[in-house]
Amino acid sequence: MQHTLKYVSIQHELGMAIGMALRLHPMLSAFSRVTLRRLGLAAIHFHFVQRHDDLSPADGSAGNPTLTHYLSVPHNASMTPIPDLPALDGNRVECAYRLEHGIEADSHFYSFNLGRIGIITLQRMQTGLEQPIIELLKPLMARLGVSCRASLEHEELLVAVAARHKAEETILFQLRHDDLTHLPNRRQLMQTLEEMRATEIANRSLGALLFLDLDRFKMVNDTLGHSVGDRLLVEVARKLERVVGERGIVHRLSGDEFVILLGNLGGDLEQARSRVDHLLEEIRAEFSDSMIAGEHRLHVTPSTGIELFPDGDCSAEQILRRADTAMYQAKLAGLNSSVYYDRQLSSDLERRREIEKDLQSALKDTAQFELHYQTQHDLDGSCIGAEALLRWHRPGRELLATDLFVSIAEETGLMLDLGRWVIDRACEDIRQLQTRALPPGFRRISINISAVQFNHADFVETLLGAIERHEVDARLVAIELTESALIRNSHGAAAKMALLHEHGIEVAVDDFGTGYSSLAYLSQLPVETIKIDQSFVRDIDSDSGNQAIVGTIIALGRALDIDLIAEGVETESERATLQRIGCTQYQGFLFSRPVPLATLIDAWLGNQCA
Amino acid sequence: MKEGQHEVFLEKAGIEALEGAIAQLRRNGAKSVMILACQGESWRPQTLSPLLQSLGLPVFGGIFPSIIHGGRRLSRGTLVIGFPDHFDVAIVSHLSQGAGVETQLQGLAPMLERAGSLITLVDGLSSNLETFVERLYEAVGVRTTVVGGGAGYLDLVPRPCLLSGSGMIEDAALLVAMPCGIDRGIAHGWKKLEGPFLVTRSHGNVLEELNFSGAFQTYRKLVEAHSGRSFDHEDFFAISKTYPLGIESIDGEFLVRDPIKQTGDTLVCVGEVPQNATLYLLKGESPTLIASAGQAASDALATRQRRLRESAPVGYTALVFDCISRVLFLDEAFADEIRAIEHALPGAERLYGALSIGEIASSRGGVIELMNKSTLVSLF
Repeated sequence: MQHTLKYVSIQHELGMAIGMALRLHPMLSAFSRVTLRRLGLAAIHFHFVQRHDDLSPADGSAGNPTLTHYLSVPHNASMTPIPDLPALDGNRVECAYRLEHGIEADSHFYSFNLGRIGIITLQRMQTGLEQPIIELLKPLMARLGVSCRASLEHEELLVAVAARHKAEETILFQLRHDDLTHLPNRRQLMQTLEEMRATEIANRSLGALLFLDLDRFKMVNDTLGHSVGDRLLVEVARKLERVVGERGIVHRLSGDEFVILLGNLGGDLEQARSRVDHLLEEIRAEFSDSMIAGEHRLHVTPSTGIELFPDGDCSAEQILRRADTAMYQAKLAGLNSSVYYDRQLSSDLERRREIEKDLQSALKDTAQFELHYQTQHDLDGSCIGAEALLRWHRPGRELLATDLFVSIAEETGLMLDLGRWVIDRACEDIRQLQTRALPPGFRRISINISAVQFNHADFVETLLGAIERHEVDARLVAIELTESALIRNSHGAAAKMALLHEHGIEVAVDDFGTGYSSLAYLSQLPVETIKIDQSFVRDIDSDSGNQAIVGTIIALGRALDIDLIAEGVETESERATLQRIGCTQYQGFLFSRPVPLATLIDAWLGNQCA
Repeated sequence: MKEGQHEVFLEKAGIEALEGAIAQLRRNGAKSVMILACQGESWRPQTLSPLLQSLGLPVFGGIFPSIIHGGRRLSRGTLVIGFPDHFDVAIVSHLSQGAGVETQLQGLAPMLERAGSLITLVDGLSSNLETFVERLYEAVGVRTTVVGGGAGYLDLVPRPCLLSGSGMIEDAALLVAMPCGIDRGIAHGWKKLEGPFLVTRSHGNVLEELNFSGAFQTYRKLVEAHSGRSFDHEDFFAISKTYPLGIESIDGEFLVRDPIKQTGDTLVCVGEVPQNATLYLLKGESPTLIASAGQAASDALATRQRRLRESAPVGYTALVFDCISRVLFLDEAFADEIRAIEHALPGAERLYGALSIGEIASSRGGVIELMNKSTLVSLF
């Protein structure tokens, strides 16, 4: 009776100790503590198959799976050597053995199968377990195996739930953050700004939105590649976060545009501005050091526009737009500048911003652009060439002066894309001309090239590429450069011009006399033609000053053996005066306004195929 | 006597005397100090803690109901023992909270790994002492012998009773890592009277049901029948101190549990009584208890002989933790228990110890047990 009660109570106590926790490790630890005490054990060891997939199939046909140590209680008993275990054949593993030597000498070990997911080994010192106890343990260990499997499945479920939770968090994060820098994105900015605006209104306090655009960042991307540009953006993001710290939130809007939101600047306008100015100083100081982007050390600065809010009923969208406008104004003020939004100064800038945005859209759909051609003539009135002039038809808006949108394109870095389109279209048109019988004296089609475009590393490659692609005779191509384009990088310019010269492409200096007018470069660079600016041509028949200037230019051209064309010739009297002082090539309304290609062909080049 | 090992007994508590004793031991080469103090000395944290904190050497000990020194049980006095070795002493605090114990022990892993053996002094009135000894075993395993006992006051009112470099503390355990091995013997001498009973309901140290009946009613019926005394007429503990309960181990040995209080139909014991354990009613008689104390000493000596392969070890120290309830049971005869221990240890250079509230020792099977009404003799 008393043994029976002992066995029943052991079975009961150990049975109650199974499954006391949902997770495997705590569940086995709790079971082990009770079992150690109740069975007077020195240690309990658990070894599990490495993966569930390793479990042998139901028929037990597979080989013995690899067992790995999972847990020992006490913990430092894990070094205890477990002798070779019998095959985990899916049915029974109950074995007893005794170590007679070594550090665990006089230990008895009892291993039981845990329902084919692993093995439990009981270690007892000195005296072994009675056989009835071993027998009563067998069904208990089968139950423990079931509990282990349930715990493992529970843990797998937890892992799956955690993974799903993490995935949801990731999606939410990605929705509101920028992939590259992990900063909050525009979506998050607009929400935070709306909330901050409401808070500032409620607290009668001021906040500030700082709109930062990196100066000349596009050049980094264009010259060093997007990979370097991306690294630089990440570095800038970290730098801004460091400087701003707890004072505000840094966002990345797009490209090289960042926004800093500052809240709770107090109710006094001057104090708020002072705090913003202090931060701007810190940002300037931080950006005075170069940054490492890949293998490059780069120095970039931000142009910053600032809008303090709330200002009347100004919405979040308007606050952002105002800061953007102020940033644009800062850009015009020079590198590394900052400007507060000023309503009166901003209307022109807002128009420029509007043009910039339209220009960005137009470059994606180039059907809005067109080339017109203004003819050039010799003394006899024969057409000797034409200048390609860009026209932009903005849907639903007025026609813009080319100078205006070209200058915006140059300021905003859009000129490269626009210039590439011009070259491509001009070459395509020249190809059409080539198929016709051109007048005997016809020399070239001139393409205007901006300084930004000419100084870009791939300019020559772009031009020659277009010429080759459209199978154009390069001798029919001329480029017109302003003086500033040549002066800015005269050494590099010389090399490029020499290369173009080798291919038969003419180079003309446009608007001569209005710019730097360094006469030295004319003798050093392979310039074929000087175009006398129309400001000297206008009223030349009655303006003796202009006559003197043009006379000097003509003398210079002759001395250097450079052709001359006068631009903006509008009257026969002007042409006659130019002829009298030695200029024999002309361009202007006297001969023709800029016209579409078809009109050029019809009117001047003879509508006949070659 | 080992070089540098000395002891000083202070008959009367006094901070200057204690300071002087420790200074003397240090001069004699002591690198660690153990203090066993009687509760009758009324040491107070305000005075004693600053001294302990300023010592600058490992110190450990406790306030006990009585101490054993010079072959006698003493109710007054403070024994200060110096050791020539530097012992690492660690504190595990907030034992009653249970949850943080495992983490604290994990933090002590390097010290516990180095220890040859551990002396463990606990606040005997902390709750969750079983959890502590369980977690301690999980940390040290079978290869580190653990001996120790519970400090505290006989009025069972919790207050600072452990002495450490952090001062007088409570609800804590001191772990003293000794580089040497310790040989121990444990016995209690209580004999089976009735049983077995199945513990059908219990919570921690509260025994609620035996064989599906109220625990106190079952206990009362058996004890009153055997003793001829009545719980209606006598104090509960006056009778129960003679009739403890024994949790049967798988090897048929008993882990004694002392029922100290009756609440309704439940019995409140010192130490946990697990549900589904098999329980016996035990009975004590002076001769068997005294003989068991001698047996504990003999077992410790035999273990030492085997370990050191010496037929008659000499020159060792015996540290005894003997349950205070044995004194309450044996009364004047307790002197015979000390004599029995001394008699079994002819080669002992010195023998001292404490009458403890619970005894702690590694069992033969390995696990560390918290015992009641037992005698623990440890030799080093």
